[in-house]
Amino acid sequence: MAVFTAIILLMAVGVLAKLYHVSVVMGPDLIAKARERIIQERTIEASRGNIYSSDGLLLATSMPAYTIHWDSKVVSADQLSQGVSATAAILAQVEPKRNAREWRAFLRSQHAAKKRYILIAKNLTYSEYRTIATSALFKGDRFVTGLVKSVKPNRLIPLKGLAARTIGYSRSDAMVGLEASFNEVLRGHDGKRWMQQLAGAHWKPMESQFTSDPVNGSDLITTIDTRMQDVAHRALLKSLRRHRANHGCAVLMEVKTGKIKAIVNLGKTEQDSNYRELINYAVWERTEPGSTFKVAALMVALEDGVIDTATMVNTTGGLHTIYNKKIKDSNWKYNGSGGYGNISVARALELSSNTGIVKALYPHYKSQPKAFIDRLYRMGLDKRTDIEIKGEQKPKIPTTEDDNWYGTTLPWMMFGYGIACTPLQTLTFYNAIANDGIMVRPTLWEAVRYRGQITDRSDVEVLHPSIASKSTLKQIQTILHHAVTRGTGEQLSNEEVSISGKTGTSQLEYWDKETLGYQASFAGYFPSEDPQYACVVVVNRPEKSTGYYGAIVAGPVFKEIALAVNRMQARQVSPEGGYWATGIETKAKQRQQQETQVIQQAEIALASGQMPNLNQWTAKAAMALLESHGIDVKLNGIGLVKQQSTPAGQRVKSPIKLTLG
Amino acid sequence: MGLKQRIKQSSRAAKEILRGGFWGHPLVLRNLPFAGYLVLLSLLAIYGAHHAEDNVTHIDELKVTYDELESEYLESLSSLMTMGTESSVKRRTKSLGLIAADKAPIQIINHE
Repeated sequence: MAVFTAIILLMAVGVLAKLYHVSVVMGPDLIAKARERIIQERTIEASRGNIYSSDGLLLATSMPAYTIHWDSKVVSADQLSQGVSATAAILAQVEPKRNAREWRAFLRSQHAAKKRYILIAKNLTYSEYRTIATSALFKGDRFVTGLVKSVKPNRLIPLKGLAARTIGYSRSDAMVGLEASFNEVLRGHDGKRWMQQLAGAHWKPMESQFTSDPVNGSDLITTIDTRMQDVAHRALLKSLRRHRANHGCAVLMEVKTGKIKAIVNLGKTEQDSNYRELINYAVWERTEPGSTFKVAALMVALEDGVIDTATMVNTTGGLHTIYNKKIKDSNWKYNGSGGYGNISVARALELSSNTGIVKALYPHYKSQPKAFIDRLYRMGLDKRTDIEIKGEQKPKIPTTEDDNWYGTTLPWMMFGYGIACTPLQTLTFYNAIANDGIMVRPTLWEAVRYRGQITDRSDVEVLHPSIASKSTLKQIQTILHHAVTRGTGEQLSNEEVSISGKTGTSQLEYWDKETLGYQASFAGYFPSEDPQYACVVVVNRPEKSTGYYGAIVAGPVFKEIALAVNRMQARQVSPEGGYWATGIETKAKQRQQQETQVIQQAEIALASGQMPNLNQWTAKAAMALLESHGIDVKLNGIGLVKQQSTPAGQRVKSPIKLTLG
Repeated sequence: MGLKQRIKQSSRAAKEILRGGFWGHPLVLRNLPFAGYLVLLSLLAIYGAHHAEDNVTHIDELKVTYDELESEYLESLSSLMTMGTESSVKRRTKSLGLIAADKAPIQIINHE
């Protein structure tokens, strides 16, 4: 007994000695290592804010993206042969870079080579991941199937494709669109916290005075209206497809505020020739605008008082020569029968006559080109809009000091060549005309919201208080209206909404016959009598055989947008003799009383366990009533209730089947 | 005291300790409830630490479930939003003979 006691005692002494050695001698080293591996100061990522449309829909949000790898060594040959075909078929659907046969061969070859950690698919949505993870080969625990998933945050644009480029993205290697411009607002601030690692790669937060909590990002509310965006997107896409164009854009802006309600940028992809949001052409692409610029040229002359709208001009068969260079009208003919004859300068603009505009304006500025240029500058046409999206180019307006200022520069400028601007800059100018001369900055953001509270709101920013005198603006507004009712934009004329605007057809790379192409555009606003929206549509390189004029290619897009947007605005009427005179209220009240009575009777019937008569009820109302009494409802068909499984007056038996029709 | 006697005394003391006789000492007996209380506290502390670790694991599992459910919700929301656009509704209801109104809605204003 004493010997046994001594042994136990010795062992205890040994344990104590080791304990002393571990804690005192080795202690500092071990603590340092433990701190490095088990106790770490870890980053707690802040949630990135969402982007919303002005009508409250989600435009961009964060959600996990799944990447899956496969450890083929875990899987037996039997397991593989049983599940490989079914899984290969599913993989071919989710990840079509390989067809089912190729996936089968790939999985088999990787298994034969005993490969580990093979990339199967990346950036999958949850449902895609689930589809793969529940397929025959990968169903079950990862230690049995070898399927390893990793998750990382990703951005989702729920309305796939709509305004995708303007919403943009924020990756570690590149940032574009609103995601880039409002990154500081959206990203929030990561937190830091000391954490202790537990078994199974779980991390337990530790109490520490050095903890900083993450501050989540704010939400951004944009000016984009998804209904208008959808309309503009479909209208532009239709035109691009019909005219087999290279790319195009359409921007819709609220006249008084500069809020952009829709911005579409569609370019043809190289892979499949479909149109997608690739580049923000509206903001970035600077081209010679062509005839849409004639409006600015005429405004300069009217402001300077060198002509008036009634000034007559001879379009000389649609051909005019300056310094041996020919200016032609679109209806010019070799036999000299083209042109528009003797017309007023206002009519020249309505008909978009190059010769008419140049012959009316050029003689007054030939000797003083600087006066023309300076007026353009004073109208603010040389400035960027500085919209929130990055990449906007500065408008190009030549000056007489430029090295490449020639005798033809000024007359060509008058019909939109030699100068260059972006579609958004053109729109801002036309918006100013619609806004009685007040040029406002286009904007894409409405407010910033943090935890449901608005913390910042955008204001209307005036770029130029008055680009021209009231009388000039009045005259231009009239001409732009006439350009649609009886000019080149006649196709846009309709009875529903009055449109004012100007067509534009410009040549691209006209110095080389091989690369020569066209750009069709239309800029304007609606309704003409009280402008609410300004819009620009630009279509780049439509196929010539399908038509390439602004009125044919861009005009219909503008018209479709204008009509659709007009239908979204409720027309307010106040009946003559007052509201009561119509009897509408009385009828509405009577109907409401009848409906209330029917619902009350149905409620009484259900309270006593009897089935009410739901014939001709809407499915929504019938469901709401029955479900509020705890009765399950099954619907079949579309429309109003036609039949009910339990007839009226009988005892209610859940579930009730309602046939609609 | 001789060496032999001192050894004898020490071995008696050691035997006494090994036999656990000290448990009957009045001082120990008097403090036994307090010792029991300390043991209970220690057990509670150990249970608390394990419970906290279980909670951390559970929270992590819930987070994964939450992320998955949120992903499912967002995917459904995305589909619903896409289906809810005017162009999609127009396309899908065409077969039912429904067409979009070609006139703006009228709102009656009562100025009385």
